[in-house]
Amino acid sequence: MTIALIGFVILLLLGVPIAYVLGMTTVIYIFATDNMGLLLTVPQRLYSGMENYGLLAIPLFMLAGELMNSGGITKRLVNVAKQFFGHYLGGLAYVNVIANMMLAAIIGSATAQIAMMSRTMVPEMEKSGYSKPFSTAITAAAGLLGPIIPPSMMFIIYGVSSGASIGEMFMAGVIPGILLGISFMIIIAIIGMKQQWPKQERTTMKEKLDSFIKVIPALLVPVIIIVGILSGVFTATESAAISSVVALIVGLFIYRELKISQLPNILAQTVITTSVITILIAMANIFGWMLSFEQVPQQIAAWMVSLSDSPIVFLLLVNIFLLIVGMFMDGIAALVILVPIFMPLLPSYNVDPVHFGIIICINLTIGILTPPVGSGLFIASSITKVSIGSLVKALWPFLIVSIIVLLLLTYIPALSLWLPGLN
Amino acid sequence: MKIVRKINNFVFSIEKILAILLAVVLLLSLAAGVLFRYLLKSPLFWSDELAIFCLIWITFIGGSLSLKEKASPSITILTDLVSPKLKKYVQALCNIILLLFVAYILYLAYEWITMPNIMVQTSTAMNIPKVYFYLSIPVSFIFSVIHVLANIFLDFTEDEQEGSLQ
Repeated sequence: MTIALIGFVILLLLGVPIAYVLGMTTVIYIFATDNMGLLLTVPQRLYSGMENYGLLAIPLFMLAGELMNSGGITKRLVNVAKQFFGHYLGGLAYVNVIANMMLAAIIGSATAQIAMMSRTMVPEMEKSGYSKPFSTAITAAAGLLGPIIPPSMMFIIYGVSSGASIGEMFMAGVIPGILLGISFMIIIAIIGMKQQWPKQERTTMKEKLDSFIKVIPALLVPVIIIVGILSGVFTATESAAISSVVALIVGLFIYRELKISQLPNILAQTVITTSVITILIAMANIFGWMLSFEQVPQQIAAWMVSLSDSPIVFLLLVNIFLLIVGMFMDGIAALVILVPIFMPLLPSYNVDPVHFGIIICINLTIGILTPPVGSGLFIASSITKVSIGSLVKALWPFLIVSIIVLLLLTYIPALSLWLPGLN
Repeated sequence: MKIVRKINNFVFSIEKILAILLAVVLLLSLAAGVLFRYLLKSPLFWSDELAIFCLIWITFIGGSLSLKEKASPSITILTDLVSPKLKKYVQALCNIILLLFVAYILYLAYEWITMPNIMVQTSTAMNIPKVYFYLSIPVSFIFSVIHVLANIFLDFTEDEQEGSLQ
């Protein structure tokens, strides 16, 4: 096991893609422990991890997001938010958060959302006189809502690897997402008191209604997901299939910005973004099997319980550990590696798996914006040409408030568990 | 090196066509599944299994595509610190390790898929041989080997071109 662990760390630091590091570590382990008979089960396990109905939601929500994006949804969401909230002091900053909350109810990935909104929102805010680093920081922070407000790639992956219901995870994310969005707006209000921010022209009722009617087809997607899952009619995967079909129809026939000729590239892009996640899950399946073969989770559980038997301390330690991991590692990769290790610990501390899922997913999502390594930082800064340094400087109030919300969610389980409990 | 690039791109275009077809079938089969279950009240027995078949192929073909596109996430905190020249060597080393691994998995997958008990397995819903599902792994890893080999060669030639410019 020690050799495998050393191999794991060296391969990671060399910069080998994380998914493949997981597979290589397992092969090293098999050689080092001379269990050659297990080698032939490697491709078999690689395969069997994929035979999972819940995973089907990943490509479908990816596709729905890509179709909505090419179909011109982003600018319509921004427009409706602007009509209703633009005339307040610092209006565009709030518009940014609100448009992001709506977009988060349609797509499920923070990095995708940051990329889409940085292109639309940052130039617009800059034109109206906001500083570029601040505009980029708000956009990046509000992008965190993507995987928290359902649908969510993180929640699907957590559900698949922990056995928790994906539908319940989706419902559990609604209140935390709204809470985080509101907290961002409070921060904006506080920062705004000291600055002379512009406001937009007040618009007429007719313009407001007009812009609202235009986003109704797009907002069908979250309605299908939430009503469908809460009432128990649809599974998460089925709601994903319906979302894709709705996105296709809206883009092609209602907004008419999506062209048939764009579809091949959209589909190819969907396959690549999907496989980046699913190949990680496939490789993590053999890696997790090695860990359980060595009883690593059980040993960590025994060690943790000997350290403290208080759930409060346990969850605090988990949060600190995950924030550190999130500084260096991609959130989804960390999720597929760590969930099998943490799951056996939950019964000892009486932590609900859905509640724990909210904690681990939101914590690792914050990690995409924490330096030194954060994919969200890199994407936002490469699109808006703000240096990572000045972006982080403008971002820290939002990161602190995110961590405060994370602690609230950690210690008030009802915030996550109340809504799925209604079912 | 032109030939390497040509083969690499040829494999890439085959994968891309496969990927697009698989994504279309996945969407259609699940959408049809929902339609038949809720509107026509006669569930399709094969729709979930066909979708999973597509997802498995998407995963491994896409895995190969993302090696070509270098889209798979890795930890770069250390490699970003070293000099650009050293970084190239580290990347070459990573690629060679990756090549060994994908070639070895290809070999294991070949051994696995040619085991006698594999041929007699059939899928539960569609009743087709499971080997069509399993083939996704050896086929994609052949493609992966080609892409990683090409990456190694192409990184090298780009090196030389830069050298000759100076």
